Amino acid sequence: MSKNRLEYGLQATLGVPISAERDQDLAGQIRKLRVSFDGTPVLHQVDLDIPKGKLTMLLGFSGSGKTTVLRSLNRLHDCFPNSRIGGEIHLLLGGVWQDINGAPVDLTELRRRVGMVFQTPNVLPTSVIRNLSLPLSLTLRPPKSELQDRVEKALREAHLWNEVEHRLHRPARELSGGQQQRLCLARALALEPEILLLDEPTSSLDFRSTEAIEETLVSLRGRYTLVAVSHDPGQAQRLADTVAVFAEGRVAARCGPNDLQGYASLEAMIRSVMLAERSFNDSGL
Amino acid sequence: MERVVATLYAVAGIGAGLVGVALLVFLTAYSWPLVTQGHVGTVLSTTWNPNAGSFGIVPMILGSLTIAGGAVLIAFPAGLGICIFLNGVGPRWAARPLRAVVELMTGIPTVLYAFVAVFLLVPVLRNIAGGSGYSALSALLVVAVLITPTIVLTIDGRFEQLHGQLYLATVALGLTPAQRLAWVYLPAARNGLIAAMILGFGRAVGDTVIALMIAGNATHVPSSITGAVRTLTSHIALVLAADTQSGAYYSLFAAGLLLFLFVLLANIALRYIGSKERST
Amino acid sequence: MKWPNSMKKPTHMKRQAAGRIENIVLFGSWLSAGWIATVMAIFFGYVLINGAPTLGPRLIFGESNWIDVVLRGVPAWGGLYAAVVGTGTLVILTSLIAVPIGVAAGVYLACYARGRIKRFLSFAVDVLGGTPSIVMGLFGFGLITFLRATVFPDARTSLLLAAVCLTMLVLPYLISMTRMSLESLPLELRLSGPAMGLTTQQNVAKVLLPSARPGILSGVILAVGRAAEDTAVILLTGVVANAGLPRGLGDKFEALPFTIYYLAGEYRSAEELNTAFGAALILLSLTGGLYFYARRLKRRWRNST
Repeated sequence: MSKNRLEYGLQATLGVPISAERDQDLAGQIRKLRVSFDGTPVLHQVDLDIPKGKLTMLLGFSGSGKTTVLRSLNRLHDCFPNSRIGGEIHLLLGGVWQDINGAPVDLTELRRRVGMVFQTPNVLPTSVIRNLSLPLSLTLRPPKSELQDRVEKALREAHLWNEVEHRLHRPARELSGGQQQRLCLARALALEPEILLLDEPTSSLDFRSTEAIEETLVSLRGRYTLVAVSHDPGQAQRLADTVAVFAEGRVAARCGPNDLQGYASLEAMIRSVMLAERSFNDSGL
Repeated sequence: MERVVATLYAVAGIGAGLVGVALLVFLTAYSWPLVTQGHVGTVLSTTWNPNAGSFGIVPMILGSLTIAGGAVLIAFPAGLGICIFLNGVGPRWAARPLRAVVELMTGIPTVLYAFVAVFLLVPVLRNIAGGSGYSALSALLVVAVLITPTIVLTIDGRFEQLHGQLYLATVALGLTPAQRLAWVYLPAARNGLIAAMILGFGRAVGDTVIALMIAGNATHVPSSITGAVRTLTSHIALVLAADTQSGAYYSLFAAGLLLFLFVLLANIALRYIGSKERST
Repeated sequence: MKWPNSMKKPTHMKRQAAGRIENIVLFGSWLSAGWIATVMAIFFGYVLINGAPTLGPRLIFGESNWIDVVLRGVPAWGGLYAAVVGTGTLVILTSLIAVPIGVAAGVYLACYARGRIKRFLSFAVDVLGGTPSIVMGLFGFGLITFLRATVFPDARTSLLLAAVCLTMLVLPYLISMTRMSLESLPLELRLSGPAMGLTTQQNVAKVLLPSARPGILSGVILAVGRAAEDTAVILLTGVVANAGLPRGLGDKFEALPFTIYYLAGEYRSAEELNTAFGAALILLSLTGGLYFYARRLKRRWRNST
């Protein structure tokens, strides 16, 4: 491949483009998504719209299915042979709506464009700089001369540059937990994703590191479409543009961040949401 | 009662450990006359001719190194390739049975590899390279097969650890399986690779039966890879089986001591690698 | 709940762009996998095709009637009976010596030994495990010459000596499997005994050893397989081509791996060669069967912990 990988990526679609008209503000649409592991369903008929350039927060307890939704967006479930997934997931990638769940898809390219940061920082066992340059040179394949600039840009975007500037060649494992997590964020950003998935990115971190990550996320909003998972209503209030509350494998409620005010805990909120829903159903409407 | 049982466990444990020490003491004691009688030079010569009083084992040392080195040269890259195949490059339908075959290979009697090679490999090499076909080359090819599972399973164990930490992260970065294995797992498993090489080499040096049956057993310094050679291990077997006068025995114990010291060194190296692994 | 048909897993397209090194990696890994698969297919195929037709009473009992051989001790001329019995006796004898010592030593290392002693012992066991089997045979041979020169002028290589040397060979397997099985038991289980007021010894005997049994058993099986297949040790410690049945622990003996080794070089007729193939198939089935049994045990064990 002599052709610049970046151009290739922008021109080509991942699979089959979809021509249907969409709401201009959206970057993703999930319809009737269902996922099961070993025959046990964990998601039932999830519908979700993902607004473009906004931070969508999936809120819920562990086991409620929020991470499963997240992993459907970059087809990470394909890594688990006991999983089954159905329904439609359409994403706006490279300006084109694409069906990423039904039709054949270039999975590696999809995963580059839909970046992901995990719950616990999983840096590669190598130097700080190589954590960014290795995936970059394997997927986007920019010319060597650009590599350094791209790494620096991504580290600055993740608000990490000042802290690691002088130890780029030290092992990444020497960084603190919070720094490692921001390194993972920078690593995803370096691949120029359009959508960024964040799986409880602060749950393994202390208060200060959480603050640093949250600040970074706020600054990324607008440039990227963000989908984050959290179990902390406070975090949702601070960061989210829209919130989807998950319970028992379904979307129990959708709301704005301000609607979360007044609930003492996630538990209280989910209970009242589900109670409201039940009485709504019981009323026969 | 409690004390008695605990003592029994301790006796067994310490006794088992002392077996290793006993081996070292025994081999040293039996090779010692070489030093006291000033025969060290004869043993470290290149001529083996017990009737003329020359008991040089250098040709056998070279024979062992040729076969073990050649076998590792083949089996290490192949084992690496198989590991990569088993951990994501190969499709599941192929990887699962192949893993079972590699595990099964650890239990296959060495004598059977040599037995089959006598009828299938030796005649082929005889036609291609000339000579009798019983050569260093035949033996090292078979030993390569013998040590492949050792190498594969050692590296695979390391990959398995890395897999838990890094698999999803690398997949989510959009790396292909080959990229994940070659650029992320391999460099991270560097110590495992060295350990695999040492273990494979050790297993190759320790093999007796393959070398005995198909390496040709010539006692001169190997001149070509298609020539007949004798290893330290098969040398011990051949000389003892032939019942030469006791003059030759000392050199056999020296050969045994050499093999044992090699294992000792290899294990010290493995310890060192292991401690480095833990500290990172 | 059943998914509709349309819910099959979507396939994905092959990535189009692959680097040159990546192609080399792909090619190399398929090549290596293909190499070992081909070699082993030829190996199994060859042993099976040549060995299968020889199976039958003749292979074991030769020209003699099997009742005479088994009950009256008539030699099985041209058959493998003596070799099978020799290997069987050797394996049983080795197990009798090695299993109690190996398991006890494993328990000691896992549950009793501490600090420097533990480090030294596990190192010694590792060294023993890496020692070439011919060195064990050499040890046995040296032991006999020593005994002859000192207390036992009549000492000679024999079944008992071979079993002792094979014990040295299989001990490391037994010790490390026992130790690993015990050490990988869940912590709660390891602590539950002391929490109930059991002493260490009671905890080991009543809680830990029973829980670790499948793992230990698969170690025993591996050790049996190793004892059955080794040729180098017995070569120096008492195996002979035509010993017949061993009449006692001090007697010479025959063994399957040695028969294969011997016949491969010295066969005089097509019949003898066929016997060698038969012996090869028997030995392969034996070690293969042991392997699959150990694997099943290990799997069940993994599922239960």
